[in-house]
Amino acid sequence: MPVEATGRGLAILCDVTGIVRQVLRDDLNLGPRLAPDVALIEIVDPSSRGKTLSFLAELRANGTALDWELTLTLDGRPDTLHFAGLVLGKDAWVVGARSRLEIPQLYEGLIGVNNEQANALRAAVKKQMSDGARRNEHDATTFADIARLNNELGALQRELARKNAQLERLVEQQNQFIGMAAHDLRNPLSVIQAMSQFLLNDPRGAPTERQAELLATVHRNSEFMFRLIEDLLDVSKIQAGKLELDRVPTDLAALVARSVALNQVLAERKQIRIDLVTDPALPPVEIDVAKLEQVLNNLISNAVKFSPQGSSVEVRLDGSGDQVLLTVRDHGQGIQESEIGKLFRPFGKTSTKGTAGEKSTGLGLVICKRIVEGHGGTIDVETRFGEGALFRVVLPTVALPIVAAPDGA
Amino acid sequence: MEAEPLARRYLDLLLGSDRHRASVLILDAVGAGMHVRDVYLKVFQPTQREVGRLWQTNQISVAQEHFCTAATQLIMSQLYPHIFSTERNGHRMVASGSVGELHELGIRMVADFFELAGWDSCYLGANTPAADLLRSVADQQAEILALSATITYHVAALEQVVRAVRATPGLERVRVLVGGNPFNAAPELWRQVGADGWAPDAGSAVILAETLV
Repeated sequence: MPVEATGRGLAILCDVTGIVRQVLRDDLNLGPRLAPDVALIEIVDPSSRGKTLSFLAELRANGTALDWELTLTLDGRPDTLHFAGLVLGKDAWVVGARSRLEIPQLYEGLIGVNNEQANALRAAVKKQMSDGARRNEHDATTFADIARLNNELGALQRELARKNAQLERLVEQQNQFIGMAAHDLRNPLSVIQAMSQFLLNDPRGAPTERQAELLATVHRNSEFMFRLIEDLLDVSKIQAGKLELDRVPTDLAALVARSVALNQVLAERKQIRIDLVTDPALPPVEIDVAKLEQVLNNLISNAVKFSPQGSSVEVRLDGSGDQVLLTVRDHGQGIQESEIGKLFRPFGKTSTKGTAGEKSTGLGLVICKRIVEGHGGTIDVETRFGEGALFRVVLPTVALPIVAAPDGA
Repeated sequence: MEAEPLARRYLDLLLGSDRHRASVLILDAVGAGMHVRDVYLKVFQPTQREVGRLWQTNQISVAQEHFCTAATQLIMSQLYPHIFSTERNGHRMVASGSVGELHELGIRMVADFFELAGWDSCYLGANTPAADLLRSVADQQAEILALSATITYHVAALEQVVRAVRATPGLERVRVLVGGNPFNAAPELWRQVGADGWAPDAGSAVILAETLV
């Protein structure tokens, strides 16, 4: 009389080709699928048929085959069962359980009090348990479901990457277009500038006062457009992050001094003084000279632009260890708190106006930000309306490793 | 590292569940100049075959088998910046595995090879119903539809899809390519399912497609 088994699963007697002779247990409700004369390879999923044949082959060759994972459809879904087989006499006792541990339990239940058979089985299972230490125990989780979920995620990820690449190509095309348009606009514009300037200063006949006024307007506007186009060209070059920096060891203090001196000339017209304080122990830096000049010029000329007559602009250059700090402070109007977010965005002009009527293209700070960040640095502003503004630029002294754009080769 | 020891090391790491090191191993190899195509053909493909063989001979568990496949899928996706950055050649294709297929890596590799060759490749997961598949082919204006089946059991479903393509107005110019184990084993099977051609692997699939468009 078989001892009541605590394991649940299926158990069959079959011949060594895997044809069922007798169904001993069917806890998994396979019903007519598991019946005499049915072949084991018909019961498993098609994907496991080959493996089932290998299982039967090992069973025939060794007399035992332990812990073979085969896939069956149970309750409409693929599930993996652990199978074991034991040849006793001319029959094979094959069991399938959801976990490895339940296998010996199933056997004990079936074989019952036959000690010789039970001992043979126990010995075989014990050996297999120690051999199979590499494999992990698993519960009834359906790996098929997880695999499907993973596949779907993978497909989504691929589509995302593809769409991103398409988007990048589009942006690149747009940038090129802007660059080309700006380039083509430059020439006619410089002609307008030159002609209007010439008419204003024509040695063969000065214009009337009215004409001079109109010409000055033409000239002023064409100059503004020219600057805008220059800035647009700059932005389109660096917009997609394709900023090319030619970093060389530079005497930053000298560079700042030069920029201050250049802007001092314009500042003098508004009686504005530019004070420069430089840390004598400034560490050497590796920067792109032309691009940093652009940044310096932009910040200092902005400070002058927004400063009232007779005020001062303070430029400081400090540094130690692995970074340098540049600050440009003005005592102008400052910027409204609500408008600070607009500052570093393209065409993000605030309501603060140049104190001598100077106009902004709205691209200067964007360009500065891109250049500074391209160097691995940061730029920000501290300001309060009515109290001026302090622009802060932090630059690392050493060029950080540049991540090369990946290509297919 | 040469391809063969690289592949062996890759498999060892996966079998040891060390997905992170496996990923670093591959990304380093690509960084050192190995072409993505070679990674696919000489590392991922042989590894998948070996994983399959180990599963069939009961040397690894189903958990390990799924883990290895999922890990390779993830690492493949980490190579996307290299795959999606090539010049477009103006051709378009759609790739999909058969309904019910769990093993998608093969057909995904095919899609990626097309992408590397400059095709715009839309990959649809194996759970895509036939109607959605046809709609994608139409929307993408694909010239090639690549279908795969890994076991004979799924060939019938694949044949249904081919018939549906032929019966759909507007898709007359679509060429259907098939692949997978059943087609490798029976060299004329592709004709029987109504396809326009068969290729044994990703590289040859691209070449065949280029002769058909």
